[in-house]
Amino acid sequence: MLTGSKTSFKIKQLVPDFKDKTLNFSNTALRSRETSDFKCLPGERVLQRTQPVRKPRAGRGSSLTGALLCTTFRVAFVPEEGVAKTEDRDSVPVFLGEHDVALASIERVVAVSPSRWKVLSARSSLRFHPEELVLFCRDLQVLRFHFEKSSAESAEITSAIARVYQPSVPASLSSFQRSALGSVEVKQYLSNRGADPQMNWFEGLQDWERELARTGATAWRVSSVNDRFEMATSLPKFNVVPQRILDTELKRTFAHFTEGRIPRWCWHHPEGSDLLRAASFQSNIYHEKHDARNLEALLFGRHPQCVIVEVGEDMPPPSEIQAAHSRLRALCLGDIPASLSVSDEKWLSSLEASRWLDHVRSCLRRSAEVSCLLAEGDLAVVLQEAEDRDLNCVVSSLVQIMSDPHCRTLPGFQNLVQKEWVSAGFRFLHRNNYTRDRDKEESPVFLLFLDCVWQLLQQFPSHFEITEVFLLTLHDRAHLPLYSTFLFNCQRERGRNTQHLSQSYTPVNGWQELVNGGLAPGSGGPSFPPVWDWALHCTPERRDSFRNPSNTPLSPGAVPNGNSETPPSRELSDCSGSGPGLVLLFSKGSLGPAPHLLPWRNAGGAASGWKNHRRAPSRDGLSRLERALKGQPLGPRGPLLPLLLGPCLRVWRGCYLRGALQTQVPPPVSSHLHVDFLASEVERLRGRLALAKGLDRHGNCKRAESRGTNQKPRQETTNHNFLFAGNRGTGCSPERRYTQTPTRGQKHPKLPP
Amino acid sequence: MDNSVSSGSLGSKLSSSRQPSVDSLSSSSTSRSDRSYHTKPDPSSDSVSTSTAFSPELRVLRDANKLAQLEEPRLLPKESIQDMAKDVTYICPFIGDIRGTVTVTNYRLFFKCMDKDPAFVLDIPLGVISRIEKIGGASSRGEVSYGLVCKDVRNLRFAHKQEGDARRSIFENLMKFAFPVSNNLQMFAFEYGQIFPGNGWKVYDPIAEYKRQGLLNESWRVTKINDHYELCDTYPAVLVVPVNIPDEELKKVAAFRAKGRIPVLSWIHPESQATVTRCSQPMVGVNGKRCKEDEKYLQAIMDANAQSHKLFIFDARPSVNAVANKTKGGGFESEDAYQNAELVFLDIHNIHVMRESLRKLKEVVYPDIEESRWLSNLESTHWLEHIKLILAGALRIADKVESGKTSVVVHCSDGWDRTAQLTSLAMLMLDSYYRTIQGFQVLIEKEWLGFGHRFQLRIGHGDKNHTDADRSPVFLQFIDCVWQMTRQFPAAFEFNEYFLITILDHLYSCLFGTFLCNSEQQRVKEELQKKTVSLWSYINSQLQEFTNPLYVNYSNHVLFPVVSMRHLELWVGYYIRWNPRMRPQEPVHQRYKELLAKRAELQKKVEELQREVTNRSASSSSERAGSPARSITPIQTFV
Repeated sequence: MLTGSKTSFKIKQLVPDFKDKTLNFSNTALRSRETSDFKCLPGERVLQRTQPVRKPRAGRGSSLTGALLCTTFRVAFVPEEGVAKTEDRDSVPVFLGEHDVALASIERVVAVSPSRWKVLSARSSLRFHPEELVLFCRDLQVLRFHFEKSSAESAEITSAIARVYQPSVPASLSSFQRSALGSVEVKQYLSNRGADPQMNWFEGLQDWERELARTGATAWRVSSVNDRFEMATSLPKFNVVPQRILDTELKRTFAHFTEGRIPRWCWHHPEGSDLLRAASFQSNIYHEKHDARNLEALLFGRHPQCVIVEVGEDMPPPSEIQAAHSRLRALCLGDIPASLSVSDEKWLSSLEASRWLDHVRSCLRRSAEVSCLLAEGDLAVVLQEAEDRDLNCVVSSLVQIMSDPHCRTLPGFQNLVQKEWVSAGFRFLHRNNYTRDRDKEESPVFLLFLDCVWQLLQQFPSHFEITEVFLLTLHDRAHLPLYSTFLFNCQRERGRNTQHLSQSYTPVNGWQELVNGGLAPGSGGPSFPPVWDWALHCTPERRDSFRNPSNTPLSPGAVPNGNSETPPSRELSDCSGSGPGLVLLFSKGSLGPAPHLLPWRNAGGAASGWKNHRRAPSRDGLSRLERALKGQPLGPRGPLLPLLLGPCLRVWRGCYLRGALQTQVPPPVSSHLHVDFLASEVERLRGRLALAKGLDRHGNCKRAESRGTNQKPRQETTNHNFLFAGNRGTGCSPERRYTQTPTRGQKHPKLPP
Repeated sequence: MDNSVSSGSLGSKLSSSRQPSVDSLSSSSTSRSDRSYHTKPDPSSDSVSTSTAFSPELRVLRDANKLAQLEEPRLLPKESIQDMAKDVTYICPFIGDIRGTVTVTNYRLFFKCMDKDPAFVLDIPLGVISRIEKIGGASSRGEVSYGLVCKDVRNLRFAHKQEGDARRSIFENLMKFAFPVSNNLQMFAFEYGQIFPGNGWKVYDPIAEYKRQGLLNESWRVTKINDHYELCDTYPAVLVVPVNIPDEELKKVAAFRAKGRIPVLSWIHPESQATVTRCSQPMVGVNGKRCKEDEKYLQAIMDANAQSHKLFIFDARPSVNAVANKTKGGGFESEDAYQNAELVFLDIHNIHVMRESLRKLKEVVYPDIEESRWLSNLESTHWLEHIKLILAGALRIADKVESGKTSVVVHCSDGWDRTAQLTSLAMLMLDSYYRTIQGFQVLIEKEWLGFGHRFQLRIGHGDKNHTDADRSPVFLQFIDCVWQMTRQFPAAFEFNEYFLITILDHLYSCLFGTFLCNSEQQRVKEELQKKTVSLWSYINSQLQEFTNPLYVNYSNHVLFPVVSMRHLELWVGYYIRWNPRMRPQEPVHQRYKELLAKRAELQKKVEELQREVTNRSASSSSERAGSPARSITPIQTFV
């Protein structure tokens, strides 16, 4: 993906020349590096530091002791003991440690003393020495720090945090971004990051072709008519359309859809069906006769039947999703530290009244219905939503997660988000509302999607390679305005802002800033990494728990990949003929013939001829599909159909209730850790075996390298997780800790010198 | 999709992957498709008794029907068919009417429909039935039906085609064998003579258990005063009391405590010597009676723990109820009379409130669940709130003992319902031994059976008086609380959910003697150990079914569960297990087994690799010899 490798090479050489310019920065960074275990990012400065501070841990009564730091980028907590320092082989440290929180995530700073508490803003002055500092974060975390002694120092750091966090002005947003990503070192580092070969960014032509090949879709091609975003600004450059429609014909169809978001192919079911998504029809334009034919070609692909699914119907609009999320949030966090706003007795009914779970249910239900339709084969299912930019993203991706095992793997899931959200033009920037100036458009549609995935994960734990930890991390990172993934509304904006084709790293900005002496904020803003570059902002321990190792490996036969059969020939003969197929409308949970599918048919005239040679809906096909909707047992290859009864949908405690003040408990253990541990054990031993083999041949040289990894004392954190899982590195109090830990060292006998 | 269950698919779900004839032991099996019963080495299934007690008519019916062999359950030893009727309709609330054959034995009700493939089966121990009622003589279809109200949160309805002998005799036989106590018959547990490899009655030995706790020491002794249940007929024979209280004084204390249930030791902290003691309420009465010996006794309990100069008395009741008890002669310890003691009320409601709450819960979950109002309906039952209060009380007790190093005395009114819940849950939090399969059995034997939780009365074994005000789901609540803890600490318990469900199923089934009678004295008198089989014999004969693969033995680790409503859940796997739409999507039980297998496989691989590494390093250079060989053990202790 990285196209600018040459440039990055130049930068490497240039860096020494500019060293003195950054000297001041590095010096401060250097100093703070010396004074503690805390490692600053290049350009990050420590503003305030105090210790000892206690951070309560999951479980009761136990806490970590360490130092609390406020920097230009984050609030960091460095525990004194216990946390294994991973050798930093890369030059740039992990952006956020396990105990860190980025300034932009903080929503409210509260200082607490025994007698009072105060919500602090930049201007407010603190007239008492707080005993406790509580940070409410956007991602529903609540971090609490107890100062061992409330003193001027505790007041200082509290006010320092209150001064710098100020998240709501655009200027502070960009200064935050600069503090994280703006330094020369970081830019240079980012420009040298290689792209993950497993990632499909859905940017270039070949990306889409890869996906067509993977799913085995043959009747489709990638069109580049939108190459310059002339046809539809919010659509990607490349869109997949039926083989048989020509680009010239295609161009005429854009006008018929809101924002020009024509029906585009998303996914191909191994049984032959295809999933498409589109915005609603534009009804107020002039239609010519062959427009109808083009549209029809676009909707049907090669299928004899086409089902239009009204996605927006009976589902919450984005504003309601936002309202429900706010209610849920208020319910889970409470408003102020002193009291929970909702009494425990009323928790269940308040949860119900938030309606969040109802919305989760309606997304899952609609997606399950669509999955059942697709499993029937021989259909084009078109998801239609007014703008095709909110619930269509949710439903199309949930359908694929239910139906395509590949989308439940880690790379598969990331690719899916790229395809159905990032590339499809979900308005991440507006929906996330990082700058707090678009409150009307803010809506956690993406978080709703993550919750739906979590529900599926709960019900089908062994069908997923991704884990709750992964979903949770993604949930939290979506609140950080640092990633190209979440900072733009569509591919066009993304490209324009990074001045580069690829949304992966761009060395150009770094280069320009170097040339301009770092003084050109307009042209040389920081380049944003994609959120998928986990190594950049997650500790290795956390990344290790992204994958469920006991997830049943995908047997090649069961995967709808390129190897699967192409659709049976009957459908080809069916629709290669001139007659249009059967259009059905899926509405209110049932199927029916679509009376007014295309808007101009009401007006009569132009398309009447078209209407005449349409087949009457065959009862046969209809009942077959209706049966499919009823969810017949679909066999091992069938989609995962979630249970939706009240007791089956749960509140995602590990996410929403992390911060509840009275209930700082570990989220439920992800069940695989045991096996996880053994699996890594096997890996390690395999490594040692290879090493031993290597030794036979090469003597000493290899030995030294691998020792570091072998002895990485990971098991301590792993241990805790059996009792206190979820957040790694938290756990029981040391004195009552699992007693076998000390013997651990013997398990991997040192390779003798 | 909750609207996706068609009538066609449900029958198959209900009985899929099971051989109905094998799962004879538990009623839960009718719903749990997630267990593979095929491989279960069920000792009861290989010795099918040839039933002899057949009436001639029955034999005719049997011979006439070629399929009869298949329509009967496979019988347990000494189980005999009492009655059979064909063309009976089971009116299933989920999938509608199913026509099949009903068999009544002296142990179970068995319904099988052969039309479905696989066959639809209901297999219900008669002990589960709390009430049988005829529903009308003439329904619109000319059918007569009768309904069974079950103790395990479901109701069943059957209909016969026409009024006739068949129905009457089925009904009569049900009435007869479901309620043996009311009919002066013996419980089936006394007939069932299955031999298991181990004897579950030997699981609990009080002396051994007290020794395990580190007793008997300089402060605590075993008294023989209750050897013949003379001091207190609801207490066990072996009691642990403070050393410096002579038996004579114990009698005086007994006179002051309700039902003679004096404070006795349940658990002692291995390090701090703080203790959990339990008793009944003091007979203070309206006049505020005092008892010198009782006051001295509690002082002795406090003195036995050098770490603290305080004693906490936890009264499980709401204070209003405790005060109200004074009019009946009971009451609570006044802080004037008991120096250094602090009294805490835990606000747990009485058995009647709990029974009512469960009744409401049943209404909400069976058969239909109102989707849009599910959570507020659940809230209105207050079931989870009661669970929360019980757990919260136990948590406070455990916290006082562990963190405060203070001894506690726990009582309610009689000290056999709420007290048993509290002490056993607190002990489960405090002592990891009780979280093992064997330890949990010991806990139930000790805190519930030994100290006289009145199972017979609370469950109403074989008694047709279903309105009895003494019935209450006290033990069910305890198991529910345990389940809540297993949810919060998935790796801390050696047993799995199925273990808990099995205990509850056999709480009602009356197949085993374990939960019969009200006290140890009655059990001895009835010679249960000789005449019946212990549930633990059955469970311990197939431990792999009940083992939690995630279990890690954290010795000395105290669990402090979170008791907020936000972190409690309804135990769907128990209360809503009959609803086919609630079946777990993935066979959890199966998955656990797979995990165990996978673990074993990985372990083997690790060992192999270790060995290989050892060999290699040994062969590649001699100076390394010796170091790697010891490496395997930690892994094994770990898993």
